[in-house]
Amino acid sequence: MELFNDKTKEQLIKEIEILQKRIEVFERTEDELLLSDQILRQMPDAVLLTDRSGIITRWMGKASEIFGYSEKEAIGNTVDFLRKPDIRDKKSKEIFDSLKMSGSYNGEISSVTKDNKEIPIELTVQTLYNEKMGPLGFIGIGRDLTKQKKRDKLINDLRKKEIKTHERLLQSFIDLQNSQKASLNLMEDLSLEIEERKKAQVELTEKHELLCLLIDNMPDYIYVKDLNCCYLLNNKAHLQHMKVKNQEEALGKNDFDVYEAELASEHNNNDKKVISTGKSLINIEEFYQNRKRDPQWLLTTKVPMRDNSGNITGLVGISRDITARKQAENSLFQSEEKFKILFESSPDAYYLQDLKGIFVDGNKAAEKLTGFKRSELIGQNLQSAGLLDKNQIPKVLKLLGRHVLGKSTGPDEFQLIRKDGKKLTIEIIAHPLKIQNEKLILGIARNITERKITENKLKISENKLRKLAQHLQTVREMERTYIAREIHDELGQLTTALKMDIVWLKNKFAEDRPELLNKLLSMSELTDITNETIRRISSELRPGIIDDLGLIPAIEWQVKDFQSRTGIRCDLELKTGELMIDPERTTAIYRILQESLTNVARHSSASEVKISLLQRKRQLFMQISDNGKGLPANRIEHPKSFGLMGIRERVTIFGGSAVFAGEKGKGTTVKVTIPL
Amino acid sequence: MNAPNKTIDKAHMSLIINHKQISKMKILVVDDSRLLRQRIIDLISDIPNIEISAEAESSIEAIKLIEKLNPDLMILDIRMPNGSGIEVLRSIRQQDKSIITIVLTNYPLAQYKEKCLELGASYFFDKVNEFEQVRDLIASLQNKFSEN
Repeated sequence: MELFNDKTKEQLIKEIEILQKRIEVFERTEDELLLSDQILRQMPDAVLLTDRSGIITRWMGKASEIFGYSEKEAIGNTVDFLRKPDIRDKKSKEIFDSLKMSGSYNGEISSVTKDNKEIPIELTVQTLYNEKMGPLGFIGIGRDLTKQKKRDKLINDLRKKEIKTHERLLQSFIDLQNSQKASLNLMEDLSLEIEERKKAQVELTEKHELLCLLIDNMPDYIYVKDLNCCYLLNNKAHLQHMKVKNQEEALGKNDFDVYEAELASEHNNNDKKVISTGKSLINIEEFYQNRKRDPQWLLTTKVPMRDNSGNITGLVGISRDITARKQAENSLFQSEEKFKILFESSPDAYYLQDLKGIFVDGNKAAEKLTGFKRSELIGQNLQSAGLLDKNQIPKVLKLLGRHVLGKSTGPDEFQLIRKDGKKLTIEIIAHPLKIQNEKLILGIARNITERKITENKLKISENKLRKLAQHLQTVREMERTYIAREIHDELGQLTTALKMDIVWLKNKFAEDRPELLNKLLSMSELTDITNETIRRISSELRPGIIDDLGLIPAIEWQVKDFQSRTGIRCDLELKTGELMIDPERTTAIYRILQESLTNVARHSSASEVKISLLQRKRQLFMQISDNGKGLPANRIEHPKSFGLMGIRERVTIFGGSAVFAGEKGKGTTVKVTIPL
Repeated sequence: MNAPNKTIDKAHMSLIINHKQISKMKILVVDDSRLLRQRIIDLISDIPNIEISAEAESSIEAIKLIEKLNPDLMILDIRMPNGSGIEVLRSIRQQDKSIITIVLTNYPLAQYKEKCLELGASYFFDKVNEFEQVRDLIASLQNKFSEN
């Protein structure tokens, strides 16, 4: 009772209250524990508690149902014994690692029951912590997934079946669509075909009409006959030809009704041949003449007509009127006959060659010219017949080339070798032509030997004449030079001496004698005039300056002198440089200039003259043009214009040329070219 | 010769030279006409201190005489047979001789004058109309010549 004395009642009540509270807590806890226990036992999953080393301490939930082991059998084993043996180590590590990292694990694991059945387990492991003591152990919850798996598989299978069914449905739907499309297409095709058939029908009808129109409008005669050669069908042209009004009148008639008996039987025979042999007669010429008409030529084709089985049911004929052609052929024939007569009888040598140059024919005159008979030449050509030597052949070939192109040639000269070896000069004109549709060449050959000789003689005499003219010219120049010198030097000398004497007299005796002075002055004047005249005549004949100083100073002097004498303004242009030129050419050019200037002074009424001298390469060009009234072209070529001819001749010797151009009112130009 | 003689000769010579202080101008007349040569010579003969060294009738003769006599002055015609005065001018030019040349010609054309002056002639006169001027010219030339 001392206990109770030490502590007050209050203290005791407080301690009892505390104890009561503690009991309440304990009871509550116990209730909770019981609840938990019940919950645990009711859980459909296996709940295991292990210690830190994995030894099972509690076996709860449906662990026994799932694994088949009782609580007693399980507790004390490691969790390993529940797992499939070959995965134990691997899984242990896996779980251990996960627990170490995060304190928990969740995964699927293959386990084995007491009956050795393999079951899939979903395992969740958590670490059990106590605040004071740290990790106590682990709690593992395992769910048996067998049923779930079965369910899943079933669902999957069902799903797969569902998909397959869907696919089949889809396919049959597509097939249905396709077959619908196909049948639509078929219908379309059918309707198209029907359309086309209709079109074809229309076309056929149109074509038929067109054909009938064509046949009726063709100028050729088209007709159909039956097996008896009687007309079944005729086109318009034929009906007209038969002089019949319409088809009805022609039906049933045959050739004998339309034509003369003789002709008719020939045609009838042709018809019968076609019908019996089944072979066509193509492009045969038929002669028609019915009672009132003019003769007519027809080009006919007759073709057998067959039915579907191939039997001949008649014939179809088409004929073209070729009367005009036939007449043309006849007139051609007649003109060819004419040609033959002309060919034979011509006095000129005629021959015919083919395009290769081989003789086809020749006339009598050709035989006479060549000395060969026609027969000896036909089949040969100009060379093989020995008529020409081989260096003339290229010329022949060139002409042949032109003939092939349809061009006429000639006159061309050749040297002909006769059969007897004699040589003639001939001239050939050749024309390509057609005789009886053959392309041939007609050659006309003329003996021009005489003419050639005459031409040569003419040339020789022309040359002689020219040489003579040149010679005369040279001589003339020499004479002029001589006379000019004589006049100037001899007479000039004398007049000079006279003048000097007169001056001497003047100086010596006339200082204070006015009468004498006057006389002497007048004498002096006379000698001056004489001397002037001498100088002038001499320089006109041949200026010494040309020989002493050359062409250029001479031209310069001449132009200046001309200007001062005539008053015509002269413009001299020199582009020559050092001129190396022989005396003959110098003289020629000087004289040409002199003559041209004389012409200007005498005929042109010009006020200005332009003279230019130009040297280029090895040629000298001189041009003299005035602004006078001009020389019309016909005057230039006038036979009396020897002056101009003379100018031309002067340069021709050196191979140069002189050209005159004049237009009325616009002046004249002389252009001279001389090779140096 | 002894040295004393040489000295005497030299003096003698200078005396002679002094005596001939007034030297004459040597003239060559070239013209193919004798008539005219005579008259030309007559024309100038009264000029003092001139000497007509020679007359030439052709260019060849003229060239030879020039070579031989070395005249101071030449009256030259252009137109001569067998060669013209122009050749003479060419020749003396080639030889580089200094001769006063007066061309006196019956061909007084500008082209001739140009050519002659080009070739070294000093003067150019028309024989018919200007020959009196030649006389005056030679007279004045002679004066200058003597002064030298």
